[in-house]
Amino acid sequence: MTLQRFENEPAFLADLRADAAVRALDLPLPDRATHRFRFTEAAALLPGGACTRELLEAPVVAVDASFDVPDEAVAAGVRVLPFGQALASDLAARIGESLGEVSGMDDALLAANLAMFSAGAVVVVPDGARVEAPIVLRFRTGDGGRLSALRTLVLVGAQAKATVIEELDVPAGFGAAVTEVVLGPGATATHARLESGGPGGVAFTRAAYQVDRDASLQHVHILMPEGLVKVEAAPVIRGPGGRVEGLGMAFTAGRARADFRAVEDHAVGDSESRVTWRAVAADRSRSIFTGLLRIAPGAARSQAFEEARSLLLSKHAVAETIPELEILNHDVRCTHGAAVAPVDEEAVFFLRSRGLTRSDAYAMLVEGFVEPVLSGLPVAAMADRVRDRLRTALAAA
Amino acid sequence: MNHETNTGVAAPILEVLGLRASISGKPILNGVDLVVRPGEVHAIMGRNGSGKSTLSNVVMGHPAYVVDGGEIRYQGRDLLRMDVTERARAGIFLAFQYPVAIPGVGVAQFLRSALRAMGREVPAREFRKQLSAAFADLGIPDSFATRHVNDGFSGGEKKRLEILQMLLLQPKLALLDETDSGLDIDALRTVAAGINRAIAQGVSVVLVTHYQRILEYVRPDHVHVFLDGRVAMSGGPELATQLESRGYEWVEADAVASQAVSA
Repeated sequence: MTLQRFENEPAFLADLRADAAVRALDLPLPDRATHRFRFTEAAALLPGGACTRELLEAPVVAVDASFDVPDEAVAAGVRVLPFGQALASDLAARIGESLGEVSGMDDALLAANLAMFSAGAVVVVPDGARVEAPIVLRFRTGDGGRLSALRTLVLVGAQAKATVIEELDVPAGFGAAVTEVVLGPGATATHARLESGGPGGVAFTRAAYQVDRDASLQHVHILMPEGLVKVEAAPVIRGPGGRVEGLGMAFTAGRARADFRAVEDHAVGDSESRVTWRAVAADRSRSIFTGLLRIAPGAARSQAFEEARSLLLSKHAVAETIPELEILNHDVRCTHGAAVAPVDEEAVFFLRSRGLTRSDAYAMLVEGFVEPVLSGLPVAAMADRVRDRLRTALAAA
Repeated sequence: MNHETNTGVAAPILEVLGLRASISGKPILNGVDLVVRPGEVHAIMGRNGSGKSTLSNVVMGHPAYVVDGGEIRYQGRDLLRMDVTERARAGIFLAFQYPVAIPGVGVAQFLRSALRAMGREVPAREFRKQLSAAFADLGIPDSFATRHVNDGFSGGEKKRLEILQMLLLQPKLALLDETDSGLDIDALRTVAAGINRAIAQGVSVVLVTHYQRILEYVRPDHVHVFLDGRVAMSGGPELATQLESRGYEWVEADAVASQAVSA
């Protein structure tokens, strides 16, 4: 099979792609009996509904990419490169150590992504480098009807600090983006993904994180699709003192569908995770949250908290908000809460009695509802963007 | 012949004529008549369930109530043809008996949005000054500005915030729905002082209460007693005092007697 996507791909990648291709073709595509895909079957995320040799060998689909790298990051020695360029640079060996290791390729979708990715970025933050300003990676997929496969690798060194924001826009056709983030000991990192897309866009994304001793990760997912998105966030705390904060929200309207799954995996104890999720579903849209807290047998003194709430703006909108627990150690503290509710009409009346129009009242209630997420976003401009989108959508409704 | 214009009496700001209203098919108001002229203070008293809160909710336009008959005219306009937002913008204000929490929305942000909605956008700095002064008047600490609206507020804090909204929004007609309930004596005085300030500014007030206590601080021009969804008795401020000593049974007995007479 011809799997090469970049010029002069290193041998490790050729091997990896070949392995991945075999798996992609051999492994059955997960159906709804597979827990991870019970709300969105994998076939819906691939053109033609199947993982075939033709798909894997299809010509590269162009992806528009643009990166904002702040001066302070450059000064601190941070490297931000398109994936192809990074492979051709001195970073190749480091990429080889981590690529596919964090996210794995246990199912056909993940294997296919590894076999065929043709765009993306590599971010390397050296040990001790501390950068406040965000690094922004923007991707926009092209060619309706075909699959654009992207891959991002973020390596944050020991005691380093960085914020990486990925914006993925899938206006039409299919997009698949897998991001792997490795935090070294004592590192502090925020990874945020903002997903948007047109009514015909279908996206599958997964962000997998490895959190070392005393490292602190914030993962952020903002889903504002007009089509379908299936998004996974999967941090694994592998060192004591590791901490993870997961923050996110989905806004869906029309017939859009957002399916978010978070798996906070405490492989070791003395670790902490906290997930806050808000979903707002309007019209005939559908919004799904499933959040698994997994505590390994040896992970004593883990603390894990999860809170997910969904707000329905229409009686035709549907939200599933499901917490899941897999706790294999007794010496832990875990709490979870989930709720789905319609808009409080008494609150709408209250706001209208203060002169607000119905749509302004809805906008205010919705913004208040997602405030616990917006106030924790790493960049204020992100929150403004979400507010703009909400206001536009609610004014149109 | 139009007496009102000829004698120089101001036209009513609110006229409620034979108003009948129900909730979930259950009749609550059974023919309410009430005329409020500009600057007047009307106290509406009555037992729980007599329909007095319903009246203020129906005038504001609460969606749960259905108007089954009668008329409401506000400044001569047919109020029932206006939606809630239009009523608010035309100068009607309702102080809620149970103010609603708006989690995630700060008090200052909410008040500024309300002012903007009323077409009274003020520059940020001026707004902060206005707000700070209003807080001070009502004994509210400045830290309120960033708290979420009514979220985790005590009963007294909620009622103070309602009065603050009234003072800031400057309505023409304020419907105060049991604003005095759940207040300790200090809070009652502060809230009453706020109401009196609005009255001094010319706001017409319909004060719904079942205690005479607030009327020691806010002097009504007229007192009406509700019974079974209609006004059973009306009078001057002395009626509140009589009610206090004779109780609502007196009004009931009187209503029965007058029915017997008319029969």
